[in-house]
Amino acid sequence: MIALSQKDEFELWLRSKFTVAFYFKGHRFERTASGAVLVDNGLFQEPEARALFEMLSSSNPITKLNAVVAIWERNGTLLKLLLAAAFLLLLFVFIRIRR
Amino acid sequence: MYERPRFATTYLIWLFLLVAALLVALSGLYVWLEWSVLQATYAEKAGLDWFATVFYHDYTFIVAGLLALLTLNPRPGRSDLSSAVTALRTLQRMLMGVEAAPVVSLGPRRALWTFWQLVKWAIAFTVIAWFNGLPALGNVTIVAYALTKGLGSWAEVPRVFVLPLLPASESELVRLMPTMEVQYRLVYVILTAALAVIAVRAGLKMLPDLVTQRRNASIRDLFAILASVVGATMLWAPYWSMDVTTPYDFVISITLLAAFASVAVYYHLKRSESGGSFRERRRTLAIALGVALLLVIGGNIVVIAAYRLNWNNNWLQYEWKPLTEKMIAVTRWAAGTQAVSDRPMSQVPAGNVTKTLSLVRQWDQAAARTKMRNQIGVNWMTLSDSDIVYVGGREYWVGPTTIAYPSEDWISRRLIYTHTSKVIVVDSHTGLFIAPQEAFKIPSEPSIYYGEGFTENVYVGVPGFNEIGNVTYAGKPDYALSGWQRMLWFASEGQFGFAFTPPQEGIKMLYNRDVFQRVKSILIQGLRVDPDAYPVSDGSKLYFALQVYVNYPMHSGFSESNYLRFFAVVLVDVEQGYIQGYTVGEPDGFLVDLYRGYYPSWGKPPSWLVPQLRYAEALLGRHDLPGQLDVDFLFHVEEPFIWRSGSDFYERPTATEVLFILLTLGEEPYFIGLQLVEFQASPGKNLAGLYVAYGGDQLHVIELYRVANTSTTQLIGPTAAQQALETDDYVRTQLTLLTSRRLGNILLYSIGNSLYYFIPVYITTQVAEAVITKMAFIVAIDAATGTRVATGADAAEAYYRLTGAVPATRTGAEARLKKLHEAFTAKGYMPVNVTVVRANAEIEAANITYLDEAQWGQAELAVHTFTEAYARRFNASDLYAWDINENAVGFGILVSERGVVKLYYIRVQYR
Repeated sequence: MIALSQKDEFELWLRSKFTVAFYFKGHRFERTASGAVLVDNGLFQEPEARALFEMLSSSNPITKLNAVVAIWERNGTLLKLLLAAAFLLLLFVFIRIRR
Repeated sequence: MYERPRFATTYLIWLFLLVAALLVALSGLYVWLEWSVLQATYAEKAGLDWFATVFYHDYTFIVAGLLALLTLNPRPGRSDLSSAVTALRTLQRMLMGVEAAPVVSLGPRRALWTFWQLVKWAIAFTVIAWFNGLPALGNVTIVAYALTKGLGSWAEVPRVFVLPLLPASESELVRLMPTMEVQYRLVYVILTAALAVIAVRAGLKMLPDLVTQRRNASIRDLFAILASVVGATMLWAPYWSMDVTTPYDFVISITLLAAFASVAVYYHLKRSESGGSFRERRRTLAIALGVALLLVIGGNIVVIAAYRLNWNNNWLQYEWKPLTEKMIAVTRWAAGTQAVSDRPMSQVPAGNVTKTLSLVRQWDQAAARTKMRNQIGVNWMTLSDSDIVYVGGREYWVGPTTIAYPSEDWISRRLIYTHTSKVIVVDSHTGLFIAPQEAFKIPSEPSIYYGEGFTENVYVGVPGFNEIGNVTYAGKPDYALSGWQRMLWFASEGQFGFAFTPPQEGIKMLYNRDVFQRVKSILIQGLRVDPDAYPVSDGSKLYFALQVYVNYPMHSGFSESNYLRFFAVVLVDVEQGYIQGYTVGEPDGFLVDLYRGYYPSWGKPPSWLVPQLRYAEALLGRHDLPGQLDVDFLFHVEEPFIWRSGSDFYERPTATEVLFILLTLGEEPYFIGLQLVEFQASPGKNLAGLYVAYGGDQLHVIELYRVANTSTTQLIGPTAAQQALETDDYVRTQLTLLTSRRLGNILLYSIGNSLYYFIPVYITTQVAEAVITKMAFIVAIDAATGTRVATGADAAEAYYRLTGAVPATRTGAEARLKKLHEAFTAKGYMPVNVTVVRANAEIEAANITYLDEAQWGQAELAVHTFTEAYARRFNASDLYAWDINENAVGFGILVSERGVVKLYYIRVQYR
């Protein structure tokens, strides 16, 4: 039996019509009815999903971070983090200037 | 089915609109009429343009007009409010499951849009003109006015803005204050208002963006709001109180502002994109930027945390030098206490002993007031207040009267009870009544048409109506109502007869007669009136003197006090209501100069007024109204560790406030405000110091005589003095014998280089409706120990008993007695020597001390007053003299009233 690399597996999953989820480095890839890919509930087109997989596979930590941020951006986590940080910092500034 | 509205419905709507329009028109006319009355009144009686004065020479309208422009939508045809309302209604329909229907929107209709902009502008204009600024941002009009008068400098605005990064020295901060309160304040208000408008508009935009699920646009709106909030915080930065960590706070804030603004711009640019971009380089750049921002913010937070961890072991460098030291200097400058001279207690001035003792304020306000109340004699007058005054070298309690309406109907209030006619004067040392003509050297007792509590406008010279007391107002009226003005005025009071069939065409009115309201009506932002007005005289007329002081909010975190300065004394003629202000504030290159320029007709006080001036009590501070002294109680401390320990902070004792008394320097009495202070939260209630605020030609001189907290020589405070009185065996016994007793003011006098408290004890008895008060005795307490306590019939007796000293002028008693007899003889009453006088009732009119020639003035005054107020009044044929005891003589008359023989007498201690 020929052992497939993770990239080949992903390509195979992408090209096939399998609806089961594909897991890679803790991220969950799912196919939607329209053919797009949901990564951790963030919507990506097929080429974007492929690029994302490449980035996640990269040994460059910045590229990996870039991929994670792209997922966070699409699934709304980035916005939630941004808002939480914004309000916390705003609170900090208010506490400081009200001394 | 469409149904035509019935005629009655249509008719009612039009009727309602007509009535509403009529009411609006009448209200407008009434306001115009009231303004006309004010304009005419102040032009005639104060020589002021009322409209220009209260509306800042039209700056109110210019500023309101310009600021209101901020409410206009800069994009023609667009309305954020309309979009928000539309979105809400759409959302409501969606939630109710109704298919979205077209909603009428203001947006595309240009005429409607223009009308809506006009309405917004008009509302904003009205609100801003009403408040002379934006409600949360304070008065802007005066700031704009000050700008045109050259206060502050535009060139210093950049320096002000970078204050958090580049701290200023104490002197530079003080120098920058005018710019911070004028130019920078204007910039702050305008930009903050603009940011508020941006935030509100962004909030309104967010609604439709959320409803239509435009995610990126919603995020843009949210971050626009956040950026506006941080922007306003940044604009406030120069007003922060700044310590060593402030530059880091500033950097965090500015980074946050940049971050929020960048996010808003980013999402604005990609607002039409549905998802995020997948371009890796752009995201990498964004991540790098985000990480850099986090590093900057995080780094600064770490630095602040490091400072805070080391705060106490570097307190001098971290807090005292950058903040507290400057705060003390700026606060003292703002409160005007930097000129308070600081002296040791040993330097408290001490004058001639007998002179000082002859001026001790033995009668306090409440006792004098009770005494005065019995002198009114009619049911339509009552005391408005009792004020301490210094005139002709003596200190008096003066009780001007106000109207007590026995009948409350319109005719009584507006046509009959137009004035009062009594001013009661009591000598604060002897308790003797003095005729106002004598105290104020005026030809006759005036009718008071303008006074304290004169809240009603009155109409004078109306045929068929007589004023109370059968007098007629002889002066010029404030305004004459005639024609449609009379109709509207009286109709608004419900007096349709006076409105349409008046007794005469023109009706003379005295308007705005309460002296406080009369003066407040011409004061602008930052000027306040001391709640205690007092009578003064130029020798021909009597005036109420109202003290006007500056109390202007300072916005710097380095100033713990408003800007406080004594500015002016405004006199109101009690008979005719003429107003004249005199500026007493010293040029300061700031607000006093601004206000002096604003009231150019107010010159320097005339020479006759100067000796009668006293420092404004409310400006010095009271329990309920903190003032300059309250600031100095803390901010006189300049040593860091004394500040930190709080060991030299003062507080005003609960038992005493500022008391106006006569301080003798040599032979010369000075009218001063005296505030005794104790150490804050001191269990021993020791005297920490005393503040002396001079009046007369020394106005503005304030001295603090202080006891060093480390000193071994301690003095008891007023609270402890009262305790010493209450625990002294003899005094306690005496007090138990007195029913309805009351302790008077706690007074501290410096006599012969020692300090003594004098506390009078009064008894009050009620006979039917009349309340009579007498000074039972006065207690002298040695302030050094608190253990030596003595009583006496007056201050001199108590003092000599306490000290054991013999009055220097004990010799010559027979000569003094002879002089008293001669004084009565000169008045036409040769005293008849008798051994004893018996009567059914004995009324002691005065109790005075004449132990040396320095006291002859008051003895002579007593003789004069007694002969005028009693002997002549009762047509007495004989005046008797008898020995009350070995030291005192009585002079009195016998009066028989309805079978009751009454003895009116004065008691003179002459040996």
